[in-house]
Amino acid sequence: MTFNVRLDLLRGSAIGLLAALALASCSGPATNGQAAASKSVAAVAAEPVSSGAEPRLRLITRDQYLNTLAYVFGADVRPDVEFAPLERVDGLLRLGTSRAGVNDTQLELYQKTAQNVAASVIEPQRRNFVISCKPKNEKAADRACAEQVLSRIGRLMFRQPLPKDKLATLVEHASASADKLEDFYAGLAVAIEEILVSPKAMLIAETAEPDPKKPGSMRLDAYSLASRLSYYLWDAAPDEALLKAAETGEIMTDRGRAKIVDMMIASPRLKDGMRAFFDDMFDFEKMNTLSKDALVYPAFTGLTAEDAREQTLRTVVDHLITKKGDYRDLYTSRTTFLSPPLAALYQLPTVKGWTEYQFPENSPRSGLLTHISFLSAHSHPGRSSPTLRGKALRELLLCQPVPRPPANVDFSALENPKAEQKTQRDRVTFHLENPVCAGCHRITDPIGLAMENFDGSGRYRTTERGATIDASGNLDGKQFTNVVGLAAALHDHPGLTSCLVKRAYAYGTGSQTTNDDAEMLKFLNARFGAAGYRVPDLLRTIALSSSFAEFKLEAPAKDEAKTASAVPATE
Amino acid sequence: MKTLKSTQVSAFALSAALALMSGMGAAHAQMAEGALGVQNRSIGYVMTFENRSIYQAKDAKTQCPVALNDGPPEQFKKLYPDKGERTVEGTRLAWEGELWNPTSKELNVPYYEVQGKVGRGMNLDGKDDANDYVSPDTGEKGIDNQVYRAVGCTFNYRDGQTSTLTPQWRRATYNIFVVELTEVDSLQNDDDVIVTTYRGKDRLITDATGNEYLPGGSQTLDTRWGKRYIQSFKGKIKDGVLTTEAKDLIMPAASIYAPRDGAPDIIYRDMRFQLNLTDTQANGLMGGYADVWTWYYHSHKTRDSRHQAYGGTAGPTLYRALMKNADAYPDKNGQNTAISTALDVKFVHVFVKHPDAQVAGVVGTSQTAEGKTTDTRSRE
Amino acid sequence: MYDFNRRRVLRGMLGGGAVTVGLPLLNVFLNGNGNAMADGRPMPVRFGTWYWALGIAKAAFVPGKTGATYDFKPEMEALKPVKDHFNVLTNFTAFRDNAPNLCHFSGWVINRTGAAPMTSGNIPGETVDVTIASQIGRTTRYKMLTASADGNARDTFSYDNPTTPNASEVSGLKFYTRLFGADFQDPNAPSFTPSPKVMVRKSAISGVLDDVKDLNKVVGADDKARLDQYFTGLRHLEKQFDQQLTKPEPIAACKKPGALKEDTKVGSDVSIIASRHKILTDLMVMAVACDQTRVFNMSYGGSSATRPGFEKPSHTATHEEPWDTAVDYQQTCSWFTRRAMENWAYYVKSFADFKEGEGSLLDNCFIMANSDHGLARIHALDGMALFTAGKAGGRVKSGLHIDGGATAATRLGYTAMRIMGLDIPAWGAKSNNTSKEIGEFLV
Repeated sequence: MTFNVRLDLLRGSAIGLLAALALASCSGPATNGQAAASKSVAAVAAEPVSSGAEPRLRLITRDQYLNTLAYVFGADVRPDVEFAPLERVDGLLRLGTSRAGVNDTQLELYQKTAQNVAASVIEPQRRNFVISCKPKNEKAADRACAEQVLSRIGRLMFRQPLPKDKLATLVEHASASADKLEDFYAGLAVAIEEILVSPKAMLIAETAEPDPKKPGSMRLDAYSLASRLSYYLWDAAPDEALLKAAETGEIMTDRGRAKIVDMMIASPRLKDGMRAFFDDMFDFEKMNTLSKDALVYPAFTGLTAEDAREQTLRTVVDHLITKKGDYRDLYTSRTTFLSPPLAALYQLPTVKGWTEYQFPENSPRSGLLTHISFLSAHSHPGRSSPTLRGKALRELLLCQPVPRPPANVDFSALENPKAEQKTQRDRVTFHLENPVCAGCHRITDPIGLAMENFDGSGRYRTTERGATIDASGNLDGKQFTNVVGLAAALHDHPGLTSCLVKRAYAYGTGSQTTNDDAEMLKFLNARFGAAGYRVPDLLRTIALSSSFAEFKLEAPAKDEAKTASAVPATE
Repeated sequence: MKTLKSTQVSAFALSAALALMSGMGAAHAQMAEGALGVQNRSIGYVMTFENRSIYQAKDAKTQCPVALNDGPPEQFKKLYPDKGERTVEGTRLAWEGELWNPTSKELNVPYYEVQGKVGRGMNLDGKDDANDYVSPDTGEKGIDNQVYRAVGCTFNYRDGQTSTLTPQWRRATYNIFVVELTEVDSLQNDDDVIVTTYRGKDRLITDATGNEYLPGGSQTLDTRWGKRYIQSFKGKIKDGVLTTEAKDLIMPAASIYAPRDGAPDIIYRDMRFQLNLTDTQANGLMGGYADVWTWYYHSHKTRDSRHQAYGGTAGPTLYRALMKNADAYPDKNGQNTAISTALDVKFVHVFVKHPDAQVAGVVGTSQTAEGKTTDTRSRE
Repeated sequence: MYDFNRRRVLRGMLGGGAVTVGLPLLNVFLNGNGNAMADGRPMPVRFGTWYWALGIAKAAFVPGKTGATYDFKPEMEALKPVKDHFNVLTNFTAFRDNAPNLCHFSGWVINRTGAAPMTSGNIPGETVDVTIASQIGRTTRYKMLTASADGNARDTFSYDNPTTPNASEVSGLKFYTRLFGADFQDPNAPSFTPSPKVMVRKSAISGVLDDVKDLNKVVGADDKARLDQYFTGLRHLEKQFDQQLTKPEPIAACKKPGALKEDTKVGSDVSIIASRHKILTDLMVMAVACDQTRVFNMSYGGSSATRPGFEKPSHTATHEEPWDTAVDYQQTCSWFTRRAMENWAYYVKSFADFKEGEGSLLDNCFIMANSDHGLARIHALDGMALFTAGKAGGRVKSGLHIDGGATAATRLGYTAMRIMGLDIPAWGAKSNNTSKEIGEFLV
């Protein structure tokens, strides 16, 4: 990192620093994350030496594929396709892309999809737009035209210029096919299929080179860096401008990289990137198949599930990107967005279409925890679940894994509650009385019970089976009487911001964080705090950090068992 | 699939109110959301179901001993039998003429009216006349429902037939009919409330089947038509039942089959409401005297010939039956121009938005949020 | 691998471990069932659909009991002789959420695409047969075949995408020519001409294999294994193309039928529709037996069917015929439904009676049948009846009546796709989305 970037890193506001210090002084038992926030100003200034993030071989996700197709061929080339589910690694599907294999079934799917895409690209009404030249004879090969088209498509899909011999092979295949099929466009389609089904398109292979400024260190090469940035911030392959910056080497200069990152953060495409990130971090994949018992919750439909997810994503993007708000305030903010079906579930008045909405001050809705999305996703089909909600808060928002229940657990007390056990609190008390259960449920239930004023569909209630709901609880020592208090406690919980930092860093680099990254995470936490917890600043810090693009040649051996978060699993 | 039962919701609202009153602690007392009942002394409902109140005995033979009425094809054959020379003027044009400019000329074709004394509806004139019906449910006498007599043996107007087209359109896209109760102190007993009818603009909210309507939706009132669809009634609530004074009312009733004739609305004279109210629903009757011409015209504008044929609804005899049984508002010749009728109606709760009013919580009125950017080309 | 229980494998894949399962599902499953051709090759499992219009009348159709010992109501009477070969599924719902109820359209579209259409010109996506054909229909001469007894090529319930319907075969003569005319390559005959499109596609794969080799130079040891897997997948594609370019193995059951003497009759009388249905079905059965396709769609339709002496066609009857309160249905409408069921019985019986290997052709098929409505008179999208037929190579049992409990009708399409080896965690849009198989008939 050079002087010019460092200067920028120093630009933390005084208020941000004060906030960080204040937070450190009033928080509970110290954790690594908190230690990070309480570091001195000097620690905020300098990025620590870290092992960096190695190059990865990542499988492209469905959304990345579609976003890229939209850029290369136009937004209407959008095949209806679902890729195989990814493994969630350390809280992120994105990390699963570095492990995912591609089996025969998936390759068949890729081939079929490629065939569909190529067929629609050469459709007469679209070819004039996507295919920049006309063949001399539509019924025969035209090498020059094929070369012109394939070099552009290949470069965008492979995220780097095609080597001469590869381009020659593609042109050869297109031409031979055109001659055989007596159709220039059909021949071209065969070569486009070849590009699309290639591992160079479907896998993102990052490559590195020795870092001339740091002997013994490696850095991503220009095209790999362009890809890493682009998938991070835009959830799509690099566009022409980024590839150009890689081609000229501009991206490898500090000034050039800063300029590009700033351009990317200023672009509307950042919203696509952030929607993808938070959709992943919040485990919204769950919403795809979320359904409720229609007799118990008739107002909760597939439509409301879709809208609930959209509500939260709109709120996140609006708060963090458009308004450049403090990340922590997402969890107490009463500003959100509503659609008519969703408003009916909230039982609130609204107007047509999606509209910005402000919950009143006496509303129980305070922040993302009180959105229908969070409340319904972490409930059972016919009832709420303090345990699932508490677990989700710990795992998704504080990066604290909650152990699974033991195999021999006896659920009968929960499944067949006694008549006098009217509320969920009455029923889950069982957990806390049973020593086998208590260890883990003490971590989840006191948080989840604070959300009991919302039923399994996320609708507000004050009673359950005639009994008044007691929504008091505590989060790591902070007591509260209801969900608004929980939201405030979460807002001030140091794990909240350190968890986002950890996820954002891992998501960007494509690597699970390990203890080796502890110093880097501390640095990012401090920077994040200094910047008033503004997410675009965090993204910028990460994207411009040395460890985002550099790594030590001999990286310390990684021990999978030690890859837990910087914050301990339980208090 | 069932909608939320009104009793459940009422119990919920009640317990919420009790909880608030009992002072569960400051933090709890502050929180509130989702009460669908009366707010600021007002409550709104949107119509989800409307059908002409046609009582059907278990055995149709007791009401229509001969048969159900002929439809257009059958009646056409009888009116213009194939006896040698036929002209367009004497057949098809004559039929169209009878449809759109009906006369009182005697037609030599059969038409069947409902027989018997049992029928549903409301006692509109406070009297028990010879033609009035007795309720099969309550034994109430003096029920005025001559529409029932006139069309009760016509297939279209019997249970579940194509007469339900208008209510479908009322729910789905247009003709949305909203009532707002104001100056309400209690949905149980209140001597003095105001009921105002409006046309609404927004799609109704349903459960997943799309068939059951959910309370808690929102309706922006449609005031582009001036005062045409706005009418206020004085009313009172006793034991949860709303009754109102009688006033003239125009029901919006546009049809997708007559897009250019935007408003073949029905004019009702002396219309009144009788509704069972809860926080989430209002069900019951509307009764009054339908203006014969608008009722008849609407009937033909809201169905195409296919539905007339499906439903056995032949215009020429229908018009004569309506005129014959009309029982109010005589013209200068003594011919009554309006006919007593009742509608079975259902409403669900909606939040009512007056056009110039700000909805609490809503920031701005248009789409302001950040959805997914789809056209990535436009980013620079 | 033979010990794997099919459902356990599928469940395991759903659990998240799916990504590294490297074996083609079909082979794993088929071999485990021990049902193979004489030369040892596994019997392919085929997928079919069947469609009838205007649903059912509950009182005349839905058995009072569920399970294997259910009772037959009048509309299902014709199906008694083939009871062991099919399952009847009742009380399923097509959810439309905020979409309109597009009469005679929304219902079948939801059943076949998983999503409710917003307008009558809009098919929300590819139909389930197309999805399955992309999985299992790549090695055969036709990816799929579609026929309609209604006599109208537009009557199709198969779409590649919103604007690409797969038109129906309606003429027996034309269908015969397409299947068994000059281009028919009898698997039992010596000559064969490979498709040029498949040839060029296959040669393009060689270029992709080189890309794998390129990448191998730049990735670490762990990732080399993943690239190997990719390489294997490409080889698998090559093999599939090869298969399409290779002269098919002889198929004992395949016998080219004799040329049709006259074409199917034109007309809408139920007996004429039934005669067309019979001719098209007989051709379809042989096309499947000769492995010309592994995906086949048949529509009986019947919405414009007429009854001698009754002046209105079936669809009009649903609207105009009075409700008979004594029996709780419309008599003539029910009469039409009974005719439809006779045709479904013929369809099932044709596949069941056709010998293949040691069992029947139907044993190696999975056929799903659906309609456009539950009770057509009110255009109901709930109370829908569905059928399955066939044992899918031993993966499915039949002879059952299953009550869906008002759950999503899309569960049938979803279950069908899972049976056919599609590795999908869920299917359908909004409230039609389901990840719940109809487990009652799975082995």
